[in-house]
Amino acid sequence: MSPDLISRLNEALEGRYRIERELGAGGMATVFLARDLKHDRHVAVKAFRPEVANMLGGERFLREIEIVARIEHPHILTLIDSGDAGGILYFVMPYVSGESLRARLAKEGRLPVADVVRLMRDVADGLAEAHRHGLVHRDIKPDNVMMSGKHAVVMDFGVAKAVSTATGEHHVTTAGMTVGTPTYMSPEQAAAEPDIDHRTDIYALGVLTYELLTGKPPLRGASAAQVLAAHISTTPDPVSRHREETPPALEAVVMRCLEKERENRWQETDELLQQLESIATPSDGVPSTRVPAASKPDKRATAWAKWAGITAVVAAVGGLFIVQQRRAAATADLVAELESALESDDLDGAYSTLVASGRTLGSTALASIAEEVGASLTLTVEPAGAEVQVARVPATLDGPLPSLDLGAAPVQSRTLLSGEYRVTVVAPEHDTASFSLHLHAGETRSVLRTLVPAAWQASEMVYVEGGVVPGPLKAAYQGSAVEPFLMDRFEVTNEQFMRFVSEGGYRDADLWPDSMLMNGAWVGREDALARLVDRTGLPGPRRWSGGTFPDGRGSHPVDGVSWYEAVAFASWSGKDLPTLEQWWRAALGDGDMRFPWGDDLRNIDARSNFTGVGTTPVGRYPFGAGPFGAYDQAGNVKLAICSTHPTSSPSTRRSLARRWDSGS
Amino acid sequence: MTFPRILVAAVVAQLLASVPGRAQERPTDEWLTRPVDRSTFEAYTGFFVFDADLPFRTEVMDEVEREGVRSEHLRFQGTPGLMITARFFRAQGASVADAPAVVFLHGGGIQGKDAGYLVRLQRFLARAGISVLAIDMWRFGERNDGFLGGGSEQERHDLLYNNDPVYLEWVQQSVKEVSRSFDFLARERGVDPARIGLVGFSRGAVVGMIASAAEDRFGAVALLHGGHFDFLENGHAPAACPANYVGHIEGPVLFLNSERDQDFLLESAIRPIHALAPASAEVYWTSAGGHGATSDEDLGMLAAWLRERLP
Repeated sequence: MSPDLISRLNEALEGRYRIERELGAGGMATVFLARDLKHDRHVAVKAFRPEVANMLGGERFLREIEIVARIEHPHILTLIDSGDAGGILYFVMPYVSGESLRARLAKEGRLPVADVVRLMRDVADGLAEAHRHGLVHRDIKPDNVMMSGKHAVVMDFGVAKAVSTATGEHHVTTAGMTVGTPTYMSPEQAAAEPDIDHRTDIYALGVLTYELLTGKPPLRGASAAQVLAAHISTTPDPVSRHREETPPALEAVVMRCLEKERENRWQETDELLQQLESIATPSDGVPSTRVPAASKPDKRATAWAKWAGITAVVAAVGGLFIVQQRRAAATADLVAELESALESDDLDGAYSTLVASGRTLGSTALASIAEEVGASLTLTVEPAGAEVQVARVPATLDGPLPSLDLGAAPVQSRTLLSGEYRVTVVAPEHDTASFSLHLHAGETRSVLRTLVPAAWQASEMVYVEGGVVPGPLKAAYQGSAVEPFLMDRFEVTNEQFMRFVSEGGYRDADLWPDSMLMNGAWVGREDALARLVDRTGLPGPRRWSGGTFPDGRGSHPVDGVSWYEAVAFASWSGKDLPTLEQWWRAALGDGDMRFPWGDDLRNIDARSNFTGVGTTPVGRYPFGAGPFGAYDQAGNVKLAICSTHPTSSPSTRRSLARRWDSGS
Repeated sequence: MTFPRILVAAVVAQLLASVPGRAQERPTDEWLTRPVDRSTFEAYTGFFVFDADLPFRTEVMDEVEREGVRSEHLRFQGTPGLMITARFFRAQGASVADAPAVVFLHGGGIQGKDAGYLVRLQRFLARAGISVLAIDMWRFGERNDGFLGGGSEQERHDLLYNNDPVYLEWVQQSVKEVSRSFDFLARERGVDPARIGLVGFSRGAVVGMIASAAEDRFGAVALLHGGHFDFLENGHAPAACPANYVGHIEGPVLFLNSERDQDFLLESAIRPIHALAPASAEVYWTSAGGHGATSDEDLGMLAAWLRERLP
């Protein structure tokens, strides 16, 4: 969407919402992060492209979409507002900071079975509520399910219906707008039948779940038309063919969702929800797999049963033999495939193969591989029991490879392929930690991480474990250690600094020293503050104008602040600037590496901002995060630190990292 | 107030007789070289008499505090039965009574006071410690009653600026509302009357020249990107012509103009107006660009100028 349209939208929404940045764009619409000015919270604004809006016809579209506002449910992203902003149709939803299932699939390939069951149950719960209100989503797909913490919420409720009502089309329109998405369309949608009902959503949920389990949708084709045809006539493979460990009960639920005839699917979403609840709570069992209670045997039946039993045992032994044979052959194939990948130095490929096989390097059959390229990881987490997942960061940085579920912490001596990983640790009532970890071939590594309790309300901070001072200071600080501390996950943004300015930060004498060193001379507080102004002479960073930051730069790091302003801001926030030792500790941890992410120089531009064209939003470079999860410590804007002793002379003031425009 | 019959007749005759050249050709505007005399000017001011005792019936629709600025969305009664929609901006946490304030008149865009680039300017002034009452002039912004058509510049000229009787009526109403806005700031928001100024932008500067001559209570008047007439203007009602007023502004005046203004042309619309202004008027040439452009330096200068004159 062009800046002109953004400014049109901003003008039309003036006083109610302020667009901050684009979150994503699709064929029909762009989603923006915006600030709800009345309630001082973030919201997501979805704005349709003007040409799409023209086709939809504003009033009718908005009438349809507002029906959704009637539904309130924890697993449905409710509609806050909608309107026509000078020809741009938009609607406003709560902002969910998590990623979509599409993004998660892209990162992990396929999801842990327990996660899939939980997510499917959430989606079914939301759908059941909507269906009770007579509303059908019509476009359930990974893009429309957002992660909110560990839970799923369904978004874009009503959009597909609104589009189809407005255009009178049931799938692909002449403008190329898709009402429903071919991969997830029910057979009746694919056949453009007019009487779509809730069972269409049940089918799409089956497709979604199949994809979450296996990493690919059940029916594919080279073109949209082929996919639509497959929905009508091709029976999908059983889930277990692509993921062996799928519980039979779950497979049965999914495959029934995917029945071609809607009469053969789950008839009510509540019924489907009940099945999923049962699977999610194994002690309850699943009715369809439960063995009926035994009644008193009769003799004839017992005799038949003996023969049947013998036959079954023979069959089982034969079956076991066949399974073992197959497994041995599969292992040999896997070893060959891994060795081939390693020969070509393709550790990423080896990792993907290993994850897809469901095997681990700890198995005896793979010992030779482990010896060559394996590393042993012991990860202790406070609190114990936190769930640990790792995802390998590929050399090309084109998104993490599929993740491996390492189970509950502590993780003991787990053998992994050497390389760079993104580790995610989740525990109830704690903020999720996500950090970079490097494993070198042959090493035995022990790592300790502490999760920040949610009650501390420090979700934007990372917990840095105490330990040695690394980096250039290592020699000078040999033998001394840094105590554990919390540090901001991201650089201070313009928006955060704006609050400091707005709330009188520059007027509060307590935040500023009596005199300040400026251009080599000591200046009294009043005179010094008169110099700490923006381009229009108002108090603020010197790159601001009119007492505020440049349009659209709210999420960028504040730039052009003096060391004194950084100290005042930190003090106002109830924090301190980090010391030099703390800064290096957060950046490099115990690692003996050059950058927070390791030693990778080749991809430096993809890991930090050395673009030379300006600041970038904080957190833009996830692969540049450090061993404790702090971002942008290598480049973007210079970061202020305090001296070792915060009360010592300002002459020890320093700044670290490099500005985006600094030379090499 | 009553007027001698002969004078009224002369005014009406002037009004009706003045049909300047049309279309692209600029009229040789007699008012630029020969503005009306003092007694005629005083007669003109009779058009702008307003009822100072009319209740304001103020309604605050919304209050928002963000980015250092507290803004109230409100309306109050300007003339009997006509409500003025406005936004009142002030520095977050600041006392209104202790700060200077300005009445802000928007340009000729149909969005009135709420045009994005004007809101930025209004919020800037508020952050600079100068409270701002930005009003929608009649038929603009929230007061758009459809009279001005679909929103094109040409349409507005055809219906309003080049339609003499209608334009005169609109100017009359606007000037009365400026005076009412002054009273609103002083009486409803407690601003010291000696510290109230006027800022007009583009069309708002044109109206501002007339209003600040007719209403002599303003402590400072800043006229940004204004002039005698804009490029599409070819109507001309003497009683609504800034040339007949600008010389009578009594307080400090600042003109901020661009030599590259493509709307109010330098030689025919800007310089002649400067020439008619009181000798004490200050002229500041922006290098930011054409019509409406302001740089950081301009903003800093404007805030400093207003603060100095509304101490």
